[in-house]
Amino acid sequence: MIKISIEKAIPTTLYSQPLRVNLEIGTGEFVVIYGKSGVGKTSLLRMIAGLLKPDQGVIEVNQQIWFNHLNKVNLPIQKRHLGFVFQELALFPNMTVMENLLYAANNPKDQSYLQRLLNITDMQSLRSRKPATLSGGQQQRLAIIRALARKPTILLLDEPFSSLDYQLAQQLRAELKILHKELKFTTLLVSHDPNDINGQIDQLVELKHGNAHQLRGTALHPTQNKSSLIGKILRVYPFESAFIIEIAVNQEILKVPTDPKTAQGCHPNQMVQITFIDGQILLSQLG
Amino acid sequence: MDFNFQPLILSLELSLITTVLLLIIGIPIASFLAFKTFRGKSILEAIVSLPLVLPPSVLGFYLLVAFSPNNFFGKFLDSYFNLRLVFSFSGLVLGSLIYSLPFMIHPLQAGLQALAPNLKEASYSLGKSKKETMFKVLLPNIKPAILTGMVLTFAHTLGEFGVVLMIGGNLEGSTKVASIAIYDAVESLDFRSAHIYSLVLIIISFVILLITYGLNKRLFDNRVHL
Repeated sequence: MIKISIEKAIPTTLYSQPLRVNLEIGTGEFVVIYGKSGVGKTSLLRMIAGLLKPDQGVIEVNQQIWFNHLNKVNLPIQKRHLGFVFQELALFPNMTVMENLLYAANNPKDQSYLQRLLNITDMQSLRSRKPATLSGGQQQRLAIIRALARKPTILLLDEPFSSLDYQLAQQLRAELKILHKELKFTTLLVSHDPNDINGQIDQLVELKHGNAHQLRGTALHPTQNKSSLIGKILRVYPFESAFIIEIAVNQEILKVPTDPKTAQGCHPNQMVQITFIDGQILLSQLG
Repeated sequence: MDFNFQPLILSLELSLITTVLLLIIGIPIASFLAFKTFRGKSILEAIVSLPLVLPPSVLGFYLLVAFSPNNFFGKFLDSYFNLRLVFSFSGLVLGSLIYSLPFMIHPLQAGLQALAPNLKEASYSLGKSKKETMFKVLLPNIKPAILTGMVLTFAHTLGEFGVVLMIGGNLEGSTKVASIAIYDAVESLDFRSAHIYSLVLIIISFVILLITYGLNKRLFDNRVHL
């Protein structure tokens, strides 16, 4: 269980009020922190990692205090036992793929685990290549499995797929889900891309105007007969006695019929979640 | 003619010792300047760069005064360590360390600053200490800068004249380096010796620079831009 309750004034944010975050994350959950650029997503990740110091609050991970401003606890990043995937990847240019993994591994003798990581991401044949000679997708895979090499309790990812084209990004999203399913590490992914929210995730956190809204489990638990998509409303127009809402999801445009009352609350550029439960379609606003 | 190889060997010895010592001293200073922000950083940077603009005779003069057994520092060294830095090889080494300091620090500092900052953070996030990060991640990725710093230091020390003249004098086998030997030969109208010393210095300097540029080109070609 991870409990985060922190506050930080960030001079670069677009908003005057400080970033306030209150989160509870269960062990092994896959959590997406969503928000526009500039709201403090990266700062939040950096505070969890220990690369940035919150002004006040508490970060507690599995009953271990990582940060508490009251009794001045601030565990250094080296002791937090996490994996961090940087937006710019930060692969070590002087090391090969395998050397990057061996440097990262807690127990370099445990090669079978590293082999497994290489196998899942199909990187086996690239073990002796330097990062500069890899394609964008391969570099991204390496950044992810390097962060996993020391078997972290939490994996933090900062906009991991933003530099890839849509197809490749989707493929890597699927691979990350496979890694998550097999290795069961708690995952916090930060993104401004709605594509990162679709599919099976355990929790969605929207960062908005410096505050975090926790949307727990809304139609996101895979156990029941429901699934959900997230998209952006393009336009709303009347159709017979009902209304049609056009929603851009990934690269498709969905036309969703709805009643006049729901249509009234919908405006272009809003982010909405479309949930399907036993043949019913539910629309809910995000944030 | 009064030519022998002693001054050339002495020059190379002085340059080599200075380069190795400055590399050891330079890495922590350069990383401190590259990564830390603190009040008075500009003052420290100005002090490091001072030998670039000062006439060597100014540096030599103050070192001479400081090392003199008649003064506090020199007396202290003499009585506690039995060390006389005036007119001795150890004094030349110390003078060269100060004189060539910016030639080592500047390339190292620039190299470290040019590295992506999250390279360091990535290593820390993998549980690695500052020391391990420095030796396994940062330094291996600034090889061209290290090489540049070493070569500039070596070449600059080889060409040192003013400081040596002030604090070393002209003692055969201990402070008479090649540049002094040339001056000495010219003064006694021994142009032949001066020619030989000069030519050897030119050839050594040229070969060192040639090797450096060749190596640097290879290192840069293999350099990774992520």
